Amino acid sequence: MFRYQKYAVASLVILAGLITALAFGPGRGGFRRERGPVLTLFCAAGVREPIREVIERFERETGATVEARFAGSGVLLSSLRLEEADLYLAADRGYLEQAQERGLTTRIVPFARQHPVIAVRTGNPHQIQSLADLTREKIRVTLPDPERAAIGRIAKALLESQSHWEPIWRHAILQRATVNDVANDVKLESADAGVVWNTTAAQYPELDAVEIPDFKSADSEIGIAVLKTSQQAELTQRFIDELLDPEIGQQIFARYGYDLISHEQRKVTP
Amino acid sequence: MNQSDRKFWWALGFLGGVYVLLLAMLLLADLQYARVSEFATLVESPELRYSLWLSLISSLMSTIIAMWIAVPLGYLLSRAQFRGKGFLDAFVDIPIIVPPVVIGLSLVILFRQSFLRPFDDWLPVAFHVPAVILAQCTVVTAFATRTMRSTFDDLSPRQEQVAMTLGCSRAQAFWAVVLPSARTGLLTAGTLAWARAFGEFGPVLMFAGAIERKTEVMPVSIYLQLSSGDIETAVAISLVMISVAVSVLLLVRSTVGSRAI
Repeated sequence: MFRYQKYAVASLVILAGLITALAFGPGRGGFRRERGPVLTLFCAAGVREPIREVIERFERETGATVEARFAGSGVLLSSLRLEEADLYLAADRGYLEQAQERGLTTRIVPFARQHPVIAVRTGNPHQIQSLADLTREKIRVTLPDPERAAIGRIAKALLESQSHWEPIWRHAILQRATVNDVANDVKLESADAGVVWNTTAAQYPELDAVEIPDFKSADSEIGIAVLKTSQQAELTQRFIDELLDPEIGQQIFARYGYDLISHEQRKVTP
Repeated sequence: MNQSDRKFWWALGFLGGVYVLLLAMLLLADLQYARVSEFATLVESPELRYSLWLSLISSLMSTIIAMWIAVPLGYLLSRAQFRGKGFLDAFVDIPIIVPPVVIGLSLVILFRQSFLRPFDDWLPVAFHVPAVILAQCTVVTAFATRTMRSTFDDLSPRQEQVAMTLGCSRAQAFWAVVLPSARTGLLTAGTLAWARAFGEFGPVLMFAGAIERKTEVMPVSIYLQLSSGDIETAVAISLVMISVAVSVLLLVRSTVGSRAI
């Protein structure tokens, strides 16, 4: 046997060892399917922190596994056309309605609210108090793109009626695909101010939120949809129950600064 | 060293030094941005341990599989003459040309096809660990093949011919003469493939999803941290990745590279 043939054989032995390590290794990885029931949740990236707490509790209580995929609401919506999942949690009702129009959902349950604010660095070093300040010279503004991010669409709709949007949009130096990108810009000092959710600003210790009356009027509803492809009616219902439970899900979301939607206000579709 | 030689070396040193300085400044900026306390919490976090473990195992598996394809394919493209060779040569470059995320998307679409369903029932691939390896492999094999091909191109076919006139078969000449002369190329292709696989992000995200403690490799962890605004942790994970990758490359190059294999 030539020396390089021995190397080739050795590489196969190593490969077999690695496959074994993967198969019996830690985590939920490997080649096995999950033992218990699995819920697949497509979840807006901005809601990651509170939903992780809900999932942890749910898994402990039910023994089921929740496989959460995090990305922007819009990105997830297009993924839903290619992949099957049980639940879709979007940061804005608009996306849930789009999913409904495409015939992907069986039920939509809104459960929390958020509204846009102007995010500045802690202490508001540039003294930004109003929308007019966003068009000031030397103030670098970062905005969520209305085409791609829920918050962009809502902010645009709110400001367009008073023709405030156009000048701010033209003045902005950055247009971002997700709300976290906007917040990161302000945090990293690439920009002085940006439009984000009040809940986003609350999650960043480095940011302060400037409330704008125009923004407060409109609320974006965060909701969860049960998908047509789901075959686990009981488990999805149990997850939603947990999310809506005032002692569990609602309490967790309130802690992260979300405004809750009470049982009476909740408009479940259909 | 005479005067003009010295100037030449200084000029080279300056031009290369600009880049090295940039890299050093990038690292310093990262180090300054990441808090020391982040590292302590990182080391203890089971998520990070899992993603480091999966990153190391999957990248090594991808490298071995990629080399098993790249060596024969590179040799075929270098030595064999057949119709459509030019086309095949360009075809194999597709993963190098297209954005990596396209590879991921294409894999998702491929694995939706009904003819792959029975296979997927037997061994779940999409959004499971095998998807990580398949996504990495698809991309890095192209890079390894390109490297192996140019390695074989640079080797004169004479040595093999001599070996064959001395009684070796094609296969024997390949194992005994070609591969030993190609050792630098093998090492380059292997380390390049490994480094690429270790850092691969787009196709993994598309095809394997960003599922915590399941298909989460380190680049995906960085993305997840960034998307929830935790830039400090994202930077800390990047620094862990950089130190692991640099240590592995140094180790491989100093042991395998110096020994006459």
